[in-house]
Amino acid sequence: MSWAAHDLEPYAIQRHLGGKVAIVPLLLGSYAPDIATKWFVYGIEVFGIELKADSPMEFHRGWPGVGFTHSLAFGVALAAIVLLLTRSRVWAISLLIGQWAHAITDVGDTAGSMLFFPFTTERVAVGAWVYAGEAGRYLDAAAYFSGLGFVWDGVWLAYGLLSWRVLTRAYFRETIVPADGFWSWLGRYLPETALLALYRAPFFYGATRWVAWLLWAHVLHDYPFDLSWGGPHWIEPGG
Amino acid sequence: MPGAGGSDRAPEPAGRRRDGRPESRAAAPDAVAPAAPDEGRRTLALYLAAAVVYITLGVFVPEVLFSSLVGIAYLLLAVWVVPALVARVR
Repeated sequence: MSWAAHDLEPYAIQRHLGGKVAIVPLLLGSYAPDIATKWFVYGIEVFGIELKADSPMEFHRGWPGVGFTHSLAFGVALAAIVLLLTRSRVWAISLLIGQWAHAITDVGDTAGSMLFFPFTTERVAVGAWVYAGEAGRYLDAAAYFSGLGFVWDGVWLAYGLLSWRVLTRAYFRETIVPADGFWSWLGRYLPETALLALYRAPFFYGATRWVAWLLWAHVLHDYPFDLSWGGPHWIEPGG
Repeated sequence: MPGAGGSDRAPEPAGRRRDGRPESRAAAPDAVAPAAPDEGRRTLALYLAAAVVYITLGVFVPEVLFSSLVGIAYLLLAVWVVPALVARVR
């Protein structure tokens, strides 16, 4: 589980692939594995009834469960559907790259991803930081921003800031807009200031929440840092 | 974001006009023109101010940090809607 990398990685990919990819499907692909399932991991209350997975980690990353959304094959399936529907190779490839980036990034925690589903339900896990989804979202955030997870996100944030030209108006006009007709279509309804805000928003969201969660966990609260492998060890891993 | 700007001119599809004919740069000289330095600095300051407010809000009301849709809506408000309203009032 990553808290900011899924917002930031698409901009790093964008920097390297330029007009060969489109940022909207890159971002959609990057969000796709969690987009419809994360609420059930942490649980929500509807009319006094709590809806939550019995085993959040198994539900989120396992089988039976929705762990297949973190497989490479799921990205291929999504890309194939998008190609059929839109006939856009750029959209299909961008979605595939974004989804693969998410699935591979989540290999970093103790739960790992079923990368090679449906050929195997074995999860590939590097185990650098703890998966603590079963502890609820606040404790999960506290744990993530106390271990190597936040360092991993920090690498992407630093890389994104070094790639600041990707966020400029000139880059938007010269590379982002020509690569994807979506922006020209949206430009009929919104001014460029709004288009730029939309384009930059995921990066803004990833960067600011990274700072905010760090301050919340270590300034407002006093969760101890533990940068050891698989840490922090003050919380039980869900994996 | 150095070089970023706040023009309200929506971009055209690259190399094409609305009528589908190819467009030369000479026909739309400001389409790729760099933002004025002051404009870029002003935009950067606006985004930084928005970031400081969002981070402060997030630290004390972390609920706002969970939804990317909230984050996107906030940025649209902070750097587009509110400045446009302020400009209109002035």
